[in-house]
Amino acid sequence: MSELIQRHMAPVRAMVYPMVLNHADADDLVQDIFIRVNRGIHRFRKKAQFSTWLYRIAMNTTRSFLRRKYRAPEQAELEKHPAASETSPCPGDNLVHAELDRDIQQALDALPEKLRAAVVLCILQEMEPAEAAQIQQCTRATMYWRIHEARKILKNHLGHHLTP
Amino acid sequence: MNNNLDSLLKNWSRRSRYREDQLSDLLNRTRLAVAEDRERPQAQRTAHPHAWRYILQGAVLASILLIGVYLLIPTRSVSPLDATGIAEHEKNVFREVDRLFDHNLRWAALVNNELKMGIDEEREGPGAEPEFVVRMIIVSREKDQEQWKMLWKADVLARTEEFINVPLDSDAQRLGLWLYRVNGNQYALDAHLNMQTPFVVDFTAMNVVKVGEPRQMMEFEDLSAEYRIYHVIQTLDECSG
Repeated sequence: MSELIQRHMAPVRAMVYPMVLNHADADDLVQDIFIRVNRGIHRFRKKAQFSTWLYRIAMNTTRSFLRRKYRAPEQAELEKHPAASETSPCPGDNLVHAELDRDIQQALDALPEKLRAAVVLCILQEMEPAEAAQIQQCTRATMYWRIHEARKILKNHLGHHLTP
Repeated sequence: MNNNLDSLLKNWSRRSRYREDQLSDLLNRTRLAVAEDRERPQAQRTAHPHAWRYILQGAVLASILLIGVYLLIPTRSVSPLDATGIAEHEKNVFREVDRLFDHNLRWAALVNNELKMGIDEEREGPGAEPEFVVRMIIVSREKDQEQWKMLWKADVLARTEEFINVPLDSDAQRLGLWLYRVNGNQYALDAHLNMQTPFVVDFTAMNVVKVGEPRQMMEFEDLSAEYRIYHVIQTLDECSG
């Protein structure tokens, strides 16, 4: 299990952070996800890909967290737009990219959860829509539609950062 | 333009990733958390501590519904569209089932009076409340008759953008549905039905429908009778009148 955590922790965290947009929450979720993986590893069916199973647990755990968070709006509001110093672990990057990073976070935050998940899986993680659909338990057509919708909304929010 | 947007997002993602030392720290904390969890008594570690309670409640409820709902379903109808109206008491069945399971149902369906349910095992705590009931019916009439007879009926509790796969009599036979909002009151419903009994049906169809408006999905006939398949979606919180 220890090796498994070592091998998969970075990609899992890279998947969770853009969903919750808060480093402390992402860290807590990563621990929670691997606890669940450890509890459920005996249920893993070897005919499925391990990474698909793991990422499904990761996205479901994140989804549950987000739904709890948005049901407690006072808390969600406090943590909605984390300070620039928190958004990037590299201080130099903060100076150059502070405004852009803030805009991207706000744009991602404005996306409905399922559309954000499509962006994370298909654009940031560069997964094939078919695999992303398996993780999100929807059809491939739905996944294509979600990516299309998400891109439309993001372009609307981030248009001034995009070159024509 | 997509590439431009994708690059912007990917660069942001790279910038927001942890450095090696931060990852190493998180790795240690995660290993410790997993080890501590492993030390806990089994009863505290169960992913779904209330699973047995759910199963028992489900079994009792299913028995009650089998008796109760059977009395409410009309077997004959002058117009097939009469059977597409989902009454408030029928929605209440789903509301109660969903509440009973703390919104942890991935799906629930009443197929010819038989309650079927799928629990979301990965979900912890309450999920989102379901939004819709999708009804699909198959009606038929003898070629020399006026009246339509209901042959098959399924009501499915649904959320938008979630694929629902309801097993029928065997694994190969199923009703698959997914629903998403196109705009305003219009929804796209993608349906796949594969059934061997009481007759063979295997089709996939996608329609854009308005909430509350029944739509004929397809029709077919054999030597003695004609058949039609209808569907309708209704919001769970809306009175059908």
